[in-house]
Amino acid sequence: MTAVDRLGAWVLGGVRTAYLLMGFLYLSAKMLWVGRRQGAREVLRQVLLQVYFTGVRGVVPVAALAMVIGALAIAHGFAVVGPLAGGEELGRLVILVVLFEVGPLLTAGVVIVRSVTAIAAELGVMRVQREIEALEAMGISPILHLVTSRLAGGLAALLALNVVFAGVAVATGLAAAAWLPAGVPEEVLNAVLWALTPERLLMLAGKVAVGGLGVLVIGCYHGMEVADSPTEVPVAVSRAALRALVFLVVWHAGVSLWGLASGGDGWGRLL
Amino acid sequence: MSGATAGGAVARANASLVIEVERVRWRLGEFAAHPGQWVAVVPEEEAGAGDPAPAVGRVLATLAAPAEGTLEVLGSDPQRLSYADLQALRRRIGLVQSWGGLLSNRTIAENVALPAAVHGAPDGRHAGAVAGDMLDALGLASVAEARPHQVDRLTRWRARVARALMLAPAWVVVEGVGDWAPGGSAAWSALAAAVAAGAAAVVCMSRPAPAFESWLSTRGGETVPCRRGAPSAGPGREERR
Repeated sequence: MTAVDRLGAWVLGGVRTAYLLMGFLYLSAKMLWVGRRQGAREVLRQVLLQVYFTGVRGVVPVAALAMVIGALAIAHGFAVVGPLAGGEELGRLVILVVLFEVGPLLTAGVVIVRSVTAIAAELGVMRVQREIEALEAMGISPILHLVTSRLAGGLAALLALNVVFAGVAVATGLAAAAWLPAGVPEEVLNAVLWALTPERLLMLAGKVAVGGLGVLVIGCYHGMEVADSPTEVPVAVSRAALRALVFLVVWHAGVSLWGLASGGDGWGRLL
Repeated sequence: MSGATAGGAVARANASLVIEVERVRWRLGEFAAHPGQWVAVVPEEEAGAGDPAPAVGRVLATLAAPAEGTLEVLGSDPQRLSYADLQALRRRIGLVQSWGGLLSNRTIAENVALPAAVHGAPDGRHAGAVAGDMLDALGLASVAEARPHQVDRLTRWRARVARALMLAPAWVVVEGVGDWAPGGSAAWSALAAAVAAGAAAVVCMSRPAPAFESWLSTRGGETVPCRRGAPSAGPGREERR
């Protein structure tokens, strides 16, 4: 097999996987309508459980990361950019780099490590243990009750975790700025308020939502792909984690490069 | 969707059904199960590699298609139904799996109540109340709050029977004989009561069990032979990857 053959096979494999994932996502959305009479309370219970596992139990690691990143961005920003510019530029740095780039990437990374792997493992074990077969036998849609609910809950939790990250990072950044010369904290705060326009927030929400939906779909898909052997579960988990990470990085890099190519700081000119 | 096939049967194999899993084939004889009737699918010999009970059970419970032949359940060919109609059909089928199947993140009571919690109990009662009665009837009340992994194998089997009977199914598919004993058991009493009330039941056996077949024959049960066929030439799952 030549290098061109290998490259072609790799590209075709990627296209096929993307097609299957899109179909899986479509099926998950369609089930909201097809299965609308299938125990809304049970579906809501699954959604809330996912919000708890992904969101509530993910607050501490995300907040800890946000504190470190927020403080480091101010400290390093002041050391490198501060002498050349001022507090306002430092605030823009915190907002644009930390909240719009690093924050969503790290938060989704935490969700991949904690939830995408867990979802893939749980669904895979449910397949092996014939739990999904039992749901099908009862006329209960496994896609609606296990996948759609996890996508909805996971996405809501991810959006909330991004808000937590942003709040903690800004608060820590402002606290760190308090150690800087007088006037800098106010300038940082003004820059933060200046950067938080509705357009930028909408764009950020879209970026986070698509990225989050992508990683969660990948986790659910690889979990449901397990057939009947326990040895398939760890394979599904590692495949889900790796593909989710690759998708996340490519998606975030693509959006950022597109924004930069459109001019300015990449965020104000996009809409 | 009507309630029975032509001739009043709840389920009918119009020709020999061929069931294939992992290149292992089983051929079932023709059968028609009428309301109030037992049917047992009995392998002619020890199964060896591959247990026919789950494979046959999956097809008879409409979860998989036969490789050859057609199965009609409650007046419908499952292969021709839309997904929504197939789900509606499955609500009238109770599958008792031989192993697994209980949701491990729920208690025994929650597992038993699940079909009624999603679809509603047939008599309009609260799902928990119906499940409570079922747990009492099958002697599961003492383990109602336990998780499936905290109880023994036969208790899990009884819980699967309870769950399968929650929606008063018209077609009950039982994989294996579970806790059957010549002296009787709570689970088999519940299954017998469902059949007496008008359901048809098929027991998919893993191996010949003369004592059980004798018990079934006293209740007018029909025995359907299940013969192992030659392996198919198609690719196995490992080769398809």
